[in-house]
Amino acid sequence: MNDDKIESRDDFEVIDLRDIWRIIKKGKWILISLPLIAMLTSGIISFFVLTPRYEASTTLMVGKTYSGQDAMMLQYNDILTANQLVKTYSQIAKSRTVVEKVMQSEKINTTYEQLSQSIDVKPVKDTQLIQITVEDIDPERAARLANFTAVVFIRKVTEIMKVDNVNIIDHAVVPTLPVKPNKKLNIIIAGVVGLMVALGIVFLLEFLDRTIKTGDDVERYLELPVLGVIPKIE
Amino acid sequence: MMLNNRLVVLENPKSPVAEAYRIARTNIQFAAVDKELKTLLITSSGPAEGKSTTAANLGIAFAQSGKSVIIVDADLRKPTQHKVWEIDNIIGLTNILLGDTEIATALQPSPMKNLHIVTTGPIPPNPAELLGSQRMTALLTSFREHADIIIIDSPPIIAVTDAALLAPQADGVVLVVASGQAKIETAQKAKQMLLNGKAKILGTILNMVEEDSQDYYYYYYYGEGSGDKKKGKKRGHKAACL
Repeated sequence: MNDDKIESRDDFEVIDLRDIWRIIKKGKWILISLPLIAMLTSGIISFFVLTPRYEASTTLMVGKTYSGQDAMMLQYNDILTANQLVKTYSQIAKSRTVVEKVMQSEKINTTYEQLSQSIDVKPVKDTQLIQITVEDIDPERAARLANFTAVVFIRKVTEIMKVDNVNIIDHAVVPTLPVKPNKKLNIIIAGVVGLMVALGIVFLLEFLDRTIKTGDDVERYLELPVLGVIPKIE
Repeated sequence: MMLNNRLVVLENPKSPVAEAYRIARTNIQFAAVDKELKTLLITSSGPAEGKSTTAANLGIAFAQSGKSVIIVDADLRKPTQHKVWEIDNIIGLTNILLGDTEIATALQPSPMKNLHIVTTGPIPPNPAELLGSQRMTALLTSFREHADIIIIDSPPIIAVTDAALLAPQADGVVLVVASGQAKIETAQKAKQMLLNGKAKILGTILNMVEEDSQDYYYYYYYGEGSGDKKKGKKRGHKAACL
């Protein structure tokens, strides 16, 4: 072994696949237990600690009501206008006036900010539809709030725009399954994150471990020959 | 403590571990070709790296090759050889050093007829002074007349000065390095201390190697002589041209 080689080995930490495999094998208990603990914790929190939240939505359609002869006159422009209107209307639905009205009528003890966060109004892309979604810990109240928001909103639009062109397509129904917490997803995320953290710890420990492990280490750091390699006796 | 299974070479001579010790013995003989190797000092940088077990098993391996062997326990701070061999430690090295006992009396028999053990004897308050004394030098010289090879089990070199005092008097020093236990810096310091004392370091014995380590596999195949040269071609070269 010449001097150049020794120098280059000192400069770069050479690590090959077998080393990685050895490190992983050595840290197998961390690699197994940490993700398991994380998944278990996540599971317990998801199942027992987090309050399940339910979601109910109602769908509204924006546009003139055409009937009979009028239907024939349905123009492309009308649809385009409606598309624009949908965006405007969504903002109205989110407005403080609407939300506060809902709040008053439902007599829920909450702030405007909290309630407006749980009400989600969004136009359905490229359609004349608006979807109002309400998230709540009580499934029935979620549905009630969604429906009531829709009603308040329609009234408000009529009042402002002086037109009656919003109709409810789907009323919100009482949801049976909670949307949050997503137990399966939470557990999977915890497992993946746990595994990554465990890998980080195992490799960190390995690089912090300044001990001689192999015959190569002896030759590299001590520059002494290895006369014998004695396996561990159990 | 399970002590019986420490004498692997004696009790399970066909095991890979015993084979590993025999390979170490052969390599030690090759490492000292330019000078007659009669006294071999076994030390390590830190405690509990397997010095005493290595000394005992190397002793057996040498005895198996037909040499007469004396294992001297010079670890006057933590005597171990009498435990390894399950013999008593009433008289030993300190008695000879103090002139109470003849060497021949202190030699205790082992299961092998050409292997004897000198235990420490009573533990003195001043081990370093005893081991560094002229008497000790003289004693090592007279031991040479009693056997082909004298293996000295010594305390860890970093902790106490004892091994550093003895090392220059031995024909060769073997540094036991426990895999995954010996710190790089400590081992380097140990090597430097030995070199400062003008000791002749023959090399290291890498001890307590995990079974799945590539080093282990190489020596296993090498030892078995199965002809599986591919497995450890690179390392085989290194070992062959020590």
